[in-house]
Amino acid sequence: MGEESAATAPRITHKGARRWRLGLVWLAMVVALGVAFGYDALASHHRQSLDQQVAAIANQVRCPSCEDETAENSATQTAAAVRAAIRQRLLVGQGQAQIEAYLESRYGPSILLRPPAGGLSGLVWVLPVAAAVAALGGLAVAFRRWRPSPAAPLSDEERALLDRARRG
Amino acid sequence: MNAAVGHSAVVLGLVGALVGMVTLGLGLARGKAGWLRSGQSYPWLVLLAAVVAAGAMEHALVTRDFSLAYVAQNDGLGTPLLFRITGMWSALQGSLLLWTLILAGYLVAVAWHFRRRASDALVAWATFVGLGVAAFFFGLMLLPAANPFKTLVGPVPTNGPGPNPLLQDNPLVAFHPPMLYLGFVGFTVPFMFAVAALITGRLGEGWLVETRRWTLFAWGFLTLGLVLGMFWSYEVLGWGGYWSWDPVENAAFLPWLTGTAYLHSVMVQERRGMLRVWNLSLVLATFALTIFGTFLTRSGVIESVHAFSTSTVGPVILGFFGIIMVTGVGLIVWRGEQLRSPGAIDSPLSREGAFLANNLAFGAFAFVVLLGTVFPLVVEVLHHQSVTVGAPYFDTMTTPIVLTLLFLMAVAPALPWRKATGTVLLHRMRWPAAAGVATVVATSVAGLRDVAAVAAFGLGAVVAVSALRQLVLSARLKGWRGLLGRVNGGMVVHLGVAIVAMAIAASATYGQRGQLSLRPGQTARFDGHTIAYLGTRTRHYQNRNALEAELRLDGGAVVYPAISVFNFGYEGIGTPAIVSGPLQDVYLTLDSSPVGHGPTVIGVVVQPLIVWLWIGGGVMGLGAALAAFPGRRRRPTAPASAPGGAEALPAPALAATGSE
Repeated sequence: MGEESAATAPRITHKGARRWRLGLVWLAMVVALGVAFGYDALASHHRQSLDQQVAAIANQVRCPSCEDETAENSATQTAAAVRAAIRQRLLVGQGQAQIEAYLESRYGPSILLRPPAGGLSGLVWVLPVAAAVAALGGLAVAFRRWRPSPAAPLSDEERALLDRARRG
Repeated sequence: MNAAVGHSAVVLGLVGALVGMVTLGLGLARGKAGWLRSGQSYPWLVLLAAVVAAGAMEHALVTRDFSLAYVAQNDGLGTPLLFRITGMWSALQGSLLLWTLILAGYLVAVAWHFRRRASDALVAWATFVGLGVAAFFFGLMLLPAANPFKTLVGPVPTNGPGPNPLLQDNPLVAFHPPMLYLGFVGFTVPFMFAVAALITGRLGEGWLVETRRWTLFAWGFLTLGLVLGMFWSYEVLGWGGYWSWDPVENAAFLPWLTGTAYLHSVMVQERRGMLRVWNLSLVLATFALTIFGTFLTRSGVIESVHAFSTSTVGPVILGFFGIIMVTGVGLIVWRGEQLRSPGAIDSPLSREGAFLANNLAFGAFAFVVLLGTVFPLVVEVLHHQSVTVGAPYFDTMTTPIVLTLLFLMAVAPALPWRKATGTVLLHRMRWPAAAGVATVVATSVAGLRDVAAVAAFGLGAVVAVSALRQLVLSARLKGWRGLLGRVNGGMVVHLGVAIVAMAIAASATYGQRGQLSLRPGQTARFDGHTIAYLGTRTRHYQNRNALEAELRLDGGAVVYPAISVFNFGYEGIGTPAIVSGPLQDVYLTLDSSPVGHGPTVIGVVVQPLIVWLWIGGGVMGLGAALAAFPGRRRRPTAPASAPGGAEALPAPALAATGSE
């Protein structure tokens, strides 16, 4: 931003050494970041407790008697019944897909808060991605069109003006 | 009496707005400056009408004039004074009065601000458009379904049910809707001037500069309105959350997204004269989305907690939305040739490149929210199927967009205009990046494993330090004045966003919720807290009877989550008890009252850092206020000052554009 002046910008002298140091600092930061995220990603595959599994599925399902609440967040009895059904089916070894299929057959397709990826509702997933790709493509074309024109060389007069300005 | 006065005032407002439009229209057509000047007095007449109409409604509500249908439905003998006053915006008809009142206020503010330029065609056209919008809303109130002053046929009732219980449960209802409306309606002003610029062909940067502060004002209030809405949701609704991607929340959020995109891309136009069509489109979209939001909220097409009323005004509002879109797009197409700009963006790695990426991300964000909101409607209409597009969809789609935006906010303040070299960027970003890496490492060591949340914490830290770096550099040069002006105020807003982002990531990822079944005298432990259930008590308030659970949290104070039953047989609603701290909130609800000698079910939600959501929202509002103050003006002779771009950047910024 604007407030960079000669004081904070890298000095001309020792420029090479400074660049090296800066490069090393950044390299160290990238490595630290990689290690931290790598460890997080690897360590996060621990087993979830039953409560967490119930919550994860109940968060994807609407409370049948409410408008906009998840079965996990709602305190109503219908939501409690959904949570109980999820728990019961997890205990007998069913997976998320099976449980969601059961809930859909029991309460209708609108019980699922996450629209299915197939069929008509797949559009709601595909359209934003397609639009983003199209916009990025358009931007790439625009940048290609905006090829910078080569800077005109400075005249001696302009050079002198610049020098004076630099000296302040 | 109230009905007659109110109704007359609405008619006066409509007539005043129409006569004003005719006066201005004729003045513009015939080039008569005198007519244009007299046209500027009509906003005052419209304001007078709006004040009288709103005053008549408030008088009717406060004095409980049940001969008015609106009062009979939204007021009652048991309703406390505060909620009688706020009753004006607890249903469609009355909230139109608030809308027109605020709109008329803005129109008068514009007329006053530009009083010396009354005969300027740009100002005249802008006023013409503004009066047109006002005429629409006054006209809407004359439709039977939206008429706030409709009287009841037959005997006058002696009592009414009062507002919806959710709207008479917490004093926040006195602040959240007016703030939101100040934001919503405020976007009418840039829209007026954008249309005026298109009509007059004065498409330079003049209209942008004229409306810069108005836009910022509207944006600031919309931001505060949204944050207060989240606060209200958290304090009142009793589910422990603050945002559920409810269609009406989305409707209020959409103009915020496009408005925020505009506040950024406008700087590219002021500085480089580019993106003219894009900026006009964003202004148009923002205003159109406020109208579309009104349609969603008030037409009953979507059932939600906010659809407190359903009515048949939907098609009329939708028609108005259509007119705005057709007119706006038509004008932009008509002026297409003139809107081309000769400029070019030199490099993607530059401030303007970052603004473009910002706009792409905000555009994608708005598209996802809009699509997810209207998709179920479209499927319902076309295929008669019911599909729910809920929070999991929005969370999945918006998380990468939000992380992208945080990344841009982190880097953009360090990018110079035109073109940056890698070394400059790495040098300027070394402290912010170090803060981010330190945060990521620290949270990993502390045992946090969710990659998206940890990324949000890390990026939030980079954003915060990047913003602070700019503020410190600016303050070193200019002292406390270094905090003023658009760039620096913007950095304060960024700081607020960083706080909000971290609070949302923390509370959404690391919350714990559960239910405890307790009998009086029993104690349970939940997520490190002890909750002792002492018993229940009943309390009688003016408008409700409450059953309150007495809970002692962690051996300290006793708190009382409640279930309230309001007069007139509304369903009982819960009132949570919230113990807030800087690190954690404990949110207690009474989920079911004891039946016989059975246990009582207590809901517990423990979420970290919630308080920082409200603090961050406040910082954003403060930043918007600081940004509205004029920074130091550049010398008009300074080489980079584009015409009208006098406040685009503080003076020392010049040094940066050339550094390295």
